[in-house]
Amino acid sequence: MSHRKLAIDGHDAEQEQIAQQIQYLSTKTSAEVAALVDQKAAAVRALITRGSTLEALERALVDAPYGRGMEPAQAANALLVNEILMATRAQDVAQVVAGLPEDERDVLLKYVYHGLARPAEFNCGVLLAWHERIVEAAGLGSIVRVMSDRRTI
Amino acid sequence: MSVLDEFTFPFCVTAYSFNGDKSQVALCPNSNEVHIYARSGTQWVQTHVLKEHDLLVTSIDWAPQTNRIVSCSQDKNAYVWTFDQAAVVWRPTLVHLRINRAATQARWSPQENKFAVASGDKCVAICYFGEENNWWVSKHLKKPIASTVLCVDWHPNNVLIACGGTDMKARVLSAFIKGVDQKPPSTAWGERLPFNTLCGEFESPSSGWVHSVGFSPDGESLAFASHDSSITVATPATGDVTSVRSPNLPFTSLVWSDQSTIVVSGHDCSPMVYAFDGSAWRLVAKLGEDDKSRRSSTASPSNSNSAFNLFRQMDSRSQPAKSSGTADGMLKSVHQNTITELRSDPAGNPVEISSSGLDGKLIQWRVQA
Repeated sequence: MSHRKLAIDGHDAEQEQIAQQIQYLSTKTSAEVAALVDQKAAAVRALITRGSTLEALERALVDAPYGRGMEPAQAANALLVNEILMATRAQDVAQVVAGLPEDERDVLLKYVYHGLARPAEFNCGVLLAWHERIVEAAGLGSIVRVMSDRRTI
Repeated sequence: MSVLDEFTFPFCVTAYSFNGDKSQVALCPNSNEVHIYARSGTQWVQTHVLKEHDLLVTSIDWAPQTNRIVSCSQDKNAYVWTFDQAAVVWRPTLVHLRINRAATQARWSPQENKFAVASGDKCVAICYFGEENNWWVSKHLKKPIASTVLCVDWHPNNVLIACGGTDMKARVLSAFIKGVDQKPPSTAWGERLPFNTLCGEFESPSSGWVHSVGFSPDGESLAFASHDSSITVATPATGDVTSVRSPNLPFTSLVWSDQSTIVVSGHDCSPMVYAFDGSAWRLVAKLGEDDKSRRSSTASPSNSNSAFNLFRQMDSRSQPAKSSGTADGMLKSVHQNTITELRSDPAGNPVEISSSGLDGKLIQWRVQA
């Protein structure tokens, strides 16, 4: 039953077209994006140690890498966001979420789902707590936006 | 903000349209038929059943002045129905759409001499009456459209048309037909407008299928609702494109009430009113939910007996408890299910709109504080 193992998404002309469209939106090469994420990482870690979670989060969520060929940068950025989420005290979560602009809440929710999809690598208990606070603040609309957005991180 | 009229049909209302004075309504009971109901006191009484389509009727539009109905269906056909006074019947005329996918939405132009049919065939069919052939002719708007078109709306100048669909874009195109249309005065959308001119292309922040488009009453702005739970308003004269991210489920229908008020509805069962406060579009009201008079019978959650009553009712009526509702298992909204369509007033009254739902309700609303 080899056809069952076929990844049909790779054979879909429309998917191909969408992937290309998304590619045009980001003008940087994968190496440039990876360098940017590395640069960000140092600044973000400094912010975490100073305890300014909100600032660190905003910094990490801006220009989240997406698109084909960006996988290393995407993984690095996901780890970076995850570090911030883990470093935040449980009682501060609601306040941090409230401080985020609307569009960045949606990006943060993408990272929460990214983590929940990889339970071996990320702490899902903490992510669930974040998920609850984000949906409280941004509503179900935020979940729908993550699902409809083709710019997956 | 109140309910002017409410009537519950014993079936899902999936498409409907009032006639010019709202004394009659054509609606689709989620089947291949179009039913005409006439007003009789507070009731709607069935007068005609229009059976010509083979598959589900997807959209109905009743031209208020010329009193013609256009209906389109998944069977790839559209019919124009004219009323025969002498025989008291509606006579169908088949429209030669030339599409090979389902038709999704049909709308008469403001002057009612053309209509547009959106379709799954990656095109919008612009139909007009060819006098020499005695036949409805269609011309296709095709060029930049990459996928199914879900919605169309006419600009007040009778030439421009907005469409949106599953290619995540809302577009403004020219539907100028030589010999039918006069040359329109130039607007911010463009000056020379031959058929199929692309005058604007917009996308919402997280993309998503465009479920509904609408021109503002003066035609200067275009608003659309898409499946990322957002509304986007674009004004080409100023270059502004603003989006509102909603905390609710996606909106599937959008109408302008006046120049600074948009009403949207969808999976959340309440029509929501967004108003422009000078700098941004904000949610100002959910129609029906602030209406205390309708809620007299429902117990407040603080009442200590309400939970007891809830369980006793569930026990006696053997009904399952429903979440996010009131004690009697009803939702707080007037509609009890998804709203299928929102329509503005056929006579052009800006404060009156109407809605239909999967719960069978047909409701007329007043949109004003």
